[in-house]
Amino acid sequence: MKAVYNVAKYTLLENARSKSFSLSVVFIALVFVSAFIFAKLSEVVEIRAIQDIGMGAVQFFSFLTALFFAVKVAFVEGQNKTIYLPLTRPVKRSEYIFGRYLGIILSAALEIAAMGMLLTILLYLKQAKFDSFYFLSYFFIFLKISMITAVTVLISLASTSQASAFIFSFLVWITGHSLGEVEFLLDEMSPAMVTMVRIFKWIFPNYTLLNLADYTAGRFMAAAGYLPAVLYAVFYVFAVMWLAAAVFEKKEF
Amino acid sequence: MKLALSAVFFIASVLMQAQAGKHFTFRNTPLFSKDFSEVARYSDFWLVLFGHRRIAADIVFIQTLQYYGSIHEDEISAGAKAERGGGFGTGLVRYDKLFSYSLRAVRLDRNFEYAVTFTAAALAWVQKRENEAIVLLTDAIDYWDGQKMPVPVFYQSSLYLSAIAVTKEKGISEATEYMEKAIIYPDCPDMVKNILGEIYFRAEDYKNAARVLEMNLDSRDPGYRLKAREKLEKIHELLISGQQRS
Repeated sequence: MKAVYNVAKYTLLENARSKSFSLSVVFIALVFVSAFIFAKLSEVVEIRAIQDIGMGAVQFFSFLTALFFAVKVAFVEGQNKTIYLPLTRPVKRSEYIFGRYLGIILSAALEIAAMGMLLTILLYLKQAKFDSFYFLSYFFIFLKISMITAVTVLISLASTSQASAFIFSFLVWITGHSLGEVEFLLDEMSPAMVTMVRIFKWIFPNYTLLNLADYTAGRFMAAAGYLPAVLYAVFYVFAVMWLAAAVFEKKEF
Repeated sequence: MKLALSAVFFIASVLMQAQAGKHFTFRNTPLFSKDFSEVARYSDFWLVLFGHRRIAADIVFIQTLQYYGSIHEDEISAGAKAERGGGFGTGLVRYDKLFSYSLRAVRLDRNFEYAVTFTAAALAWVQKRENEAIVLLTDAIDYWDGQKMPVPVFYQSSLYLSAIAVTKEKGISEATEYMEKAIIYPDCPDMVKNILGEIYFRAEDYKNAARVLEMNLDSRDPGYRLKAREKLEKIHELLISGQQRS
């Protein structure tokens, strides 16, 4: 466990120094520009637009940075052979991959918190009203990022090129958001297709359950559904990461 | 061992996913449904697939406001006079696409009640197309009624539906009772306050007209601020001249 902690700490420091974090600057510019653009609209639409575009940017930029770090850890380091050095130390491969993953999602958490704070300050200055769903949305964005990071680590370990790892991860992100959209078609599908869609829902991260940012008015799910949704994300991450650890164990560099 | 642990967590995630899915109380219009595809554009699909449905709805509604805030020469009825900048709220331009624009925004995000009430008010009380307003409101209300929400919400839309139905049957002056309830809400469009103030003004109920129009003195829209100020000055003059006569 200590090894996991040390690797995570090293990854977090490494990521914090990375230039990818400067993406946050782009975010700041985007949110402030949008604030000026929408200033002439009615108060309701202005606050709503700033919040939505801001939250969308938080999600998209943290997705991009997490993707970049995950591909770097699981693919680029193997290609560059820089992975040899940490693996010569007394640290198990599974501890290494879990530590790296933990470091990446902690970096993502920091990024989400920093960007979220900025957005909240801007909305506060615009006299927006906040409720628990607004703050919970950030946590759910973090859960989504944790899931896609785990999937990207797994994909990168199995990929033969950096580009394919990026493309497949993007496709998983899109598939995750479209899974809930096909549910209403199940009644019209053949039993074989229904089974296939269900299996897809188990394999791919089902973001319909976690996309609270699209329902910040709170009309999303009953209170009893939030804990299972959070546990779903946590269990899914562990399932994918243990699989990634198994792949990493067998991988030859 | 690792694979076994992965399998155990995978089964747990499947169970939790099913459990969370049971508690869904509100779903937006599905992406591949007829309701969605008959109004949506490609850009909407992409934004939804990337998890930004609300942004897609915001963009469409802002486009709606841009459309409704400008003159369209090809949508001016024969004989009508219109000047640049005078299109909004005058009823001179027909704004044929107003209904389809708003339906698109509303179907993208079913929580976007402001888009429903604003456009319904514009269609019914400015463009005099009550039927389109009623279709827009019933499309939204019927959808919400079909959701598994424990407490009914979206009260404002029902209020607007009543007001517009009364307008259609008995004329706009009979709808003031419902419009009075609508203007209490902080997110009530300034347009509705302006219309209600105008109804009172025409009925020579200056006290109520002044009360309602005063709400628009701090409107973000300079057009409504100006209209409210001008009308209040006029009311003031009328009241003074009335007092002098008596």
